[in-house]
Amino acid sequence: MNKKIITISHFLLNYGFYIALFLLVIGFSFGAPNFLTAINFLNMMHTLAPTLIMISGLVFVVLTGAIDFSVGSIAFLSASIGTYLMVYLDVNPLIAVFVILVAGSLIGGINGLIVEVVKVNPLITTFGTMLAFRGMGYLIAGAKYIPIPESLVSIHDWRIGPVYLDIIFSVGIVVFLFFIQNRTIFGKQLMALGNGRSIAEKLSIKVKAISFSAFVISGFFAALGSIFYMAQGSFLSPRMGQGLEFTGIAIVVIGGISLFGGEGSILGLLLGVFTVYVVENGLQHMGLSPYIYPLLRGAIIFIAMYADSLKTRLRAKKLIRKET
Amino acid sequence: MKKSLLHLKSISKSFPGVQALKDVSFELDRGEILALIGANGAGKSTLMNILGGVIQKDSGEILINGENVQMRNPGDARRNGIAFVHQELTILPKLSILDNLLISSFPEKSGFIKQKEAIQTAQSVLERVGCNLDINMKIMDVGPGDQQLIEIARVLLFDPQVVIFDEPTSSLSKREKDRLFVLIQQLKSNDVAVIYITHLLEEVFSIAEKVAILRNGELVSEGLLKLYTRGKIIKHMTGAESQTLHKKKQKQDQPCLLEVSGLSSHGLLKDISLKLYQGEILGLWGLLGSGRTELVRAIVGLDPMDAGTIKIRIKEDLRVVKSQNANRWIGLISEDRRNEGLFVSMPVKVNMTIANLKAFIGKIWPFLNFKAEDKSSREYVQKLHIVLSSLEQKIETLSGGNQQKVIISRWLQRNPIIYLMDEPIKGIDVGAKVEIKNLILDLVENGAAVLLISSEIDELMSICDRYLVMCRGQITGEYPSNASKEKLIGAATNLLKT
Amino acid sequence: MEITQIKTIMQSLKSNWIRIVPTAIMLLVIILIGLRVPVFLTQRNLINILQQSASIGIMAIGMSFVFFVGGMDLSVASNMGLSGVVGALVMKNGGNPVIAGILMLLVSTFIGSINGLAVAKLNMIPFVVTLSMMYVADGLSVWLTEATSVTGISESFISILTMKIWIIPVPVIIMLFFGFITTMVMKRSFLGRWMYAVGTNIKAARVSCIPIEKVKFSAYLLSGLFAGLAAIITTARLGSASAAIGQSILVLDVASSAVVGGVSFYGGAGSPFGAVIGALLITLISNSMNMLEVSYYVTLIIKGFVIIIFIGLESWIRARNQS
Repeated sequence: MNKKIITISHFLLNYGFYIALFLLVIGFSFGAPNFLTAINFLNMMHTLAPTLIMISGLVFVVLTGAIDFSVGSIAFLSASIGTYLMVYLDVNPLIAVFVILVAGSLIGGINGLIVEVVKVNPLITTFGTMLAFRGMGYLIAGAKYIPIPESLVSIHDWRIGPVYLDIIFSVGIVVFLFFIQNRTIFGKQLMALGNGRSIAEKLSIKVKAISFSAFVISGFFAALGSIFYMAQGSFLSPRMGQGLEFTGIAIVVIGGISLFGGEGSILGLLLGVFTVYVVENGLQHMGLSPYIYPLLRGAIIFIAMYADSLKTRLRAKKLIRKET
Repeated sequence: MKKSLLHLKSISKSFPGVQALKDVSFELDRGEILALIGANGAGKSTLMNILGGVIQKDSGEILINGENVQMRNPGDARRNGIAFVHQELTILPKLSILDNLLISSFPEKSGFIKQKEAIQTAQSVLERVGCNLDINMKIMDVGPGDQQLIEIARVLLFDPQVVIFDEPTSSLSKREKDRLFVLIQQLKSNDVAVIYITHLLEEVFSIAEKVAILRNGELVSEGLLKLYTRGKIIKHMTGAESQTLHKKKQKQDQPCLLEVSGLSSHGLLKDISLKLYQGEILGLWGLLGSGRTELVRAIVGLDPMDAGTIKIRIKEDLRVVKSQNANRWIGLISEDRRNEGLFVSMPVKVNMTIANLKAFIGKIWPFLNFKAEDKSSREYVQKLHIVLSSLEQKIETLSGGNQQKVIISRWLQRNPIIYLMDEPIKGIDVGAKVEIKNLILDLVENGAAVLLISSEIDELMSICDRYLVMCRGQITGEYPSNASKEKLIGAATNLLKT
Repeated sequence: MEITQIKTIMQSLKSNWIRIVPTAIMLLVIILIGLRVPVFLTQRNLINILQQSASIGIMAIGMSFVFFVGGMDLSVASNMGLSGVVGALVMKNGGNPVIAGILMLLVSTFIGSINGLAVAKLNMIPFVVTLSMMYVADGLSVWLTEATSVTGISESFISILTMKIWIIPVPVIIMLFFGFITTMVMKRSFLGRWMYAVGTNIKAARVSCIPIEKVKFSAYLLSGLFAGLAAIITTARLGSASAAIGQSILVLDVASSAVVGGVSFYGGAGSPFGAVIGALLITLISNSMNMLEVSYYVTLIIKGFVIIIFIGLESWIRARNQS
């Protein structure tokens, strides 16, 4: 009897989410006829493209079993540096873009250094750098909206037919990273690290280097995303990336990437983003108060995280039973 | 003269305070299966860890095909054709079988994996070991027997010349064990040499051709298996018969204080039943991995029980008790002092009284009466001759023996009727050992019952009234106080005929 | 004093130097600032600092319990925010301020109890549990207030909680009082010993008959309770409540206070009063940065790195001790 309960819970935890999502989509389609149209979907992807890019790198950090709360701040800081160059020093936007990307990587590297060399827990580290980096960004660009050069803003409007280029780009990045995760030695070693640091070390994997690289990658994509974010709003916004530590982790967890590391595919990000869309857009179409969004997001994260934890616990129990 | 494949020459290794290996030498040729036998602490693991590059030898040489090689790390060992299948598997649980197999040896080109080749390699090596699972399955979804097979497959990918197996059958079913033996025979026919570490003598007789027996870090005997009998091997393992220093009359008619029935846990312990009587010291003997520590942990609820009951004598009657509550009547002195016994950063006084704080509650609840606490602690310090400069000093600054005494006094205060002591005299100096042994004798003299686990069979035999022997999670024998060492070791190396 | 007692104190100093040094440095810096900006050390400014630190200090007391048992509570700030909002709404709609205050405590303790259940009974990871609770509490606050401030706090509520006894504001007295009492309980009662034991070595604690689940649960419960207390004084001080008062930056301040005040992030060491001192120091930093006209942003940077340094030092020492 006990075994049955475990199997049912197991099923629910693994697939319950998809079932719920499916039901939600159906429900919303009835309540709001405009909901499931292609145009709506494309619009959503267009709006979410910068965010998607920004958190693509974060997935690598989570896969190693760590966390990076500072992605939003890294995005803001890198963008501030680039904006400063473009607006106050008249630097060519192309060069500024390059600098932004390099900056993001280096800043991510700082996180990596603190975690691996100073050996502070990633949670504390990135919570602290979340503050510190944002502070640095404010120092450089002030806390105001700064318009950025038209040439950069225009990338927001590029499209091929009806499809905006940034959608293709963001999805392309996710697919590219999926490839890295699954078809490169680096990707495999990353997953190994997430499965157990000491085991990975025994297998002669250079865990410090890999963990460090994950943070650098996280910083890089945060910076890359910030460029699209700026193009979208045509400003450098002081609020850029704020709350990303919230939304980003939600999307990651919902996408099936376990916070414990070593499990999940980057493609899950697309699922996570889609879920956020379903929930928010759906509710919007149904005319619900916008103030309920944070609560709903919170509730979803709550459920997703608890489910993640429970899944791990049940798995441990199942293993014990198997041995008897 | 043809050079043998592997030649260990005069390997010595010492750790602080103990000579683990002394001048050990043996040779192994292609296609030979050698069983490496020895009791706990004999040095088997140390020797193999040196060969596998996990630790460094102090002196001696390792010759492979006549050439002296240095094993500085597991990578070196691998490069020299030595493969080590450890008792504890190194698997990456959430990854696929394919990933687990190839994690250190993916066919690649500038960092990119050649997927087709990878799949082919994985499948062919799995076939070789007789495993036909889907390589895309997550390895945590398969049983330990299959996991071990995959681990063996992984080492085979490096085309080793020597494969070392460390207690490989501990979690295998009979069918899986047979499968393993077939695999070993296959290795032999492929000219691979096998070193098989075990303490289960019947396996030795099923699979090995040569034996090497270690005792106290020295190679006491080696040769072709056919020249040995079971008894001869045991004698070599144990050495000369030691005197039983302490003969006690078997105490009959004393009430049973602890009764365990049908305890099973964690896949290791199978249907254990025992009785512990007032006034006796029951020795629980067995080799590493036999489940003695797991047994006492399960009794006090540190590990979950899958089945079984525990009865404790409360108020003249044996009553069923849940293992989580058992620590009200049972004092556990844990084997792993540092991780399970001591509050390392805390003062001696706190360590002593921590299990009994309710007794020191002062006039205002919940505050403690410090004076009473100090007084009581000082009494125990005196009684047990604990060497320290102040009750407030951190317990980590005490010597091992004194730390152990503090832990014992922690339980003495509560005055439980039952003590489970797991290796209470391991790693402490001779003087303290004697004191603690006398303490244990005192305890049972005053009406308690003690279950004593020790790997030092001589120590065990010097104070126990009765023995239970465990092997592979089962009780394989019960013996009176005048049992011979051979009998005890024999029972520890022998599974029950199931 | 006997020789042995002196020896023990010396020993204690030697092993705790890592905690004392950074704190001493901070004090030194503060004194230097005081010399440079004289208005810093005026009575008025110091009282101001005390007042600002009260809310963080009280939350830090609650947080310290969770730290003692080796966990963490990321939800304290949002908890405070939500509790404040609930109480404020009650008062706005004409409710009795005393009821409102009690309600704040009830709500916050309830949130703490959910955290406690998840960690103690369900054995879940504190980070996950309290992080998700933080999001939910935050979301609830936004929903309930529709992202606006709740005003209409009753006068009596505000006046009682913002008055001064002699020159010291009531909230500060509350903070110091509770800091003192809880420290006494931690250091001198069996409950405190149990908490330290659980945080130091949970396996040994289990073997030593300590009721681990109850101990852990209580820690989270207390954290919630003190968040509610902080909600009461903050709402009174601001005269309003909103979802914004519980932002994530505040959690870091609270954690920093505890860590700077000598409460070990890993468990088993420190005292609630230390957390209070830590809160004072953290507030001093903010205040002194202000005085020196350092931008808010640089202050953010400094705060961010302070906590990293403190915990980093502790990690480093632990790693060194273990080898």
